[in-house]
Amino acid sequence: MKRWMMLVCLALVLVIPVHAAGTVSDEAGILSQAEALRLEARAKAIEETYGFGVYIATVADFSGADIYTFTTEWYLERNLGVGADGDGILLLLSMAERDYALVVHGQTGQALFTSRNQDVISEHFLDDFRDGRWADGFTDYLEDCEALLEDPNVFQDEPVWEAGGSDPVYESYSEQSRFSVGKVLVVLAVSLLAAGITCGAFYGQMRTAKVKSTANDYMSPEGLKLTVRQDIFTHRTEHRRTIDTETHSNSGSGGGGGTHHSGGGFSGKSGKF
Amino acid sequence: MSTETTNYQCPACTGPVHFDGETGRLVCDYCGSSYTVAEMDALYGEKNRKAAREPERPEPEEIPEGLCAYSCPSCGAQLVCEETTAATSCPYCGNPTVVPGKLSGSFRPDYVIPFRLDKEAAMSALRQHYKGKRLLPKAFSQENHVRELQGIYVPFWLFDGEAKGEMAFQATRSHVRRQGNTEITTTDHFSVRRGGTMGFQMVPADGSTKMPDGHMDAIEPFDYSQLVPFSPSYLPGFLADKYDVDADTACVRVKDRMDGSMVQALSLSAAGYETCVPISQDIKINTGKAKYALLPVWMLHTRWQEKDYLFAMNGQTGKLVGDLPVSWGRFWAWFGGIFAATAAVMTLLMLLF
Repeated sequence: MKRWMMLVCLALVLVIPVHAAGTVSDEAGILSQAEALRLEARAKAIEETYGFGVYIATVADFSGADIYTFTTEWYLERNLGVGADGDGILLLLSMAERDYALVVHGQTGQALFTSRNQDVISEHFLDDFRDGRWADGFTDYLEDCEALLEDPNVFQDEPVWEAGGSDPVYESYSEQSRFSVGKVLVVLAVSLLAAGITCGAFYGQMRTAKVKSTANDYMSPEGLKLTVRQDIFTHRTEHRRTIDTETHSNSGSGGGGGTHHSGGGFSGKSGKF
Repeated sequence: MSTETTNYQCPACTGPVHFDGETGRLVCDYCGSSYTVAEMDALYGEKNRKAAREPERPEPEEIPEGLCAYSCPSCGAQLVCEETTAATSCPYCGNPTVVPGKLSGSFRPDYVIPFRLDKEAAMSALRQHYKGKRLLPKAFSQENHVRELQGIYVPFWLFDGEAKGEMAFQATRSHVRRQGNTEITTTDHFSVRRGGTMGFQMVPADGSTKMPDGHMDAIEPFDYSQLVPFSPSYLPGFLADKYDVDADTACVRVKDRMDGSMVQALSLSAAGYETCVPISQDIKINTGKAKYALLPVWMLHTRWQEKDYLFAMNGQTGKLVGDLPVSWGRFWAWFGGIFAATAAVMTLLMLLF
């Protein structure tokens, strides 16, 4: 009987979602108790409604190589996520250097929380975090997650600010990864170049009477006889450029600043607030 | 000033003869007899020498400046030609006429490359020239007709020379390494010098102001293995000009071309760097005594929509050059088509991948 009970328990452990940690963890102590409770309640309600974990964490100062890696490790160490895939999203703030990371785990989450949607969500909460309105920022984050879980196209018409750009870029949700102003410009530039080069060559065929500037046809067979050949090293210069840390397979700049990452079962973005 | 002229006539029937490039012989237009250049030289050599020694007579007053008047030995008609003309044909009787005095003394060419290609080859080359030109107005090849087609022995100066000089470059070679979050680009800078000599053999420059330099340069090169000592017997049937650009003037162009080749060769010798920027050059060109040669060129003149188009064909190799009119409608149609097609393909690829 004891053995049978143990097998049932083991099966339950494997099948039933594990919630080893709460949905809100405020180690940095930036939220009041009431705010934390309110956020926790909202996050749990979302999780129960949509079967998708939504988590919030704050730390005083993260330890490790970078904030993104630290956040993914946080997610794994606390067995966050729902279902066998561990579907969920975690927003973690590290207060010392004002770092943030948003990580998404599981196939459902990654299909829904695309890079573009991450950009939209992060733009909303970063506005509040920059002004020190922590609870408002987390509330925006939860609202956006809920809205997206309710309707995958909710941010379809939301403008995204390209990093370093001055104008927002409107993109279609379904085409977001395929078209951007950058890509359109590349298509235009390459097409113009191809047309220009080809038509330039056609034009060149029409102009064949040209004065020659060299006499290569009349060089003696031995050609150039080199008598001086001097290659002197004079000095060395060094240029240093700080690059974004990449701990995963891919990265790139995202809307509202920050760096996108993917790989290792996670996707997400990180940056400063 | 008028001088004596010589008509090359068939010894058998006294019909006009012309030099036939294909056979390399002088062929009678009437009876078809043919003669070698040596045979005609033997017949006309003394006559030409005598004509060349003939004192020049003053031009009649009605002949404008820059032109000369001759009497055709066959029909007696007065031929009015440019002062530089050394061979032509009588417009009345069609007899090829050579003015030996124009190609004697300092004007006597050292060499000549005889024509190898005839009028039909020039016409065929022109038709070929039109082919595959996507921007050529359709009506041009259909509506325009060759107004003038002339085989001309063009005076060329041929210069041997040597270029000697040095060039200095600033060159760099870079490599990139990564240290933590920092990308470090290390650039090694070099001071590079290259110097040397380069020989040139028979670089041509046309000695006629009537011939456009672009056309004459573009029909190069000529095959100098077919250069032969000059003889007026190669001229019947063609036009020939004596030079009106002297060797010193032509030499300037030749030196520029030798200089260009030297700079190009020295720059290419400074290889192995990512960037190599020339900062100074000191190149000297020495040329020897110029040789004077008549080289064969077919000149074709067409007119379309009130504009003249001139083509030149190397009478030895068949290389034809000449600027063609551009249909801007076609240009923009092609531009738009290629632009649209490229954009469509790229968009499709982006959708697929």
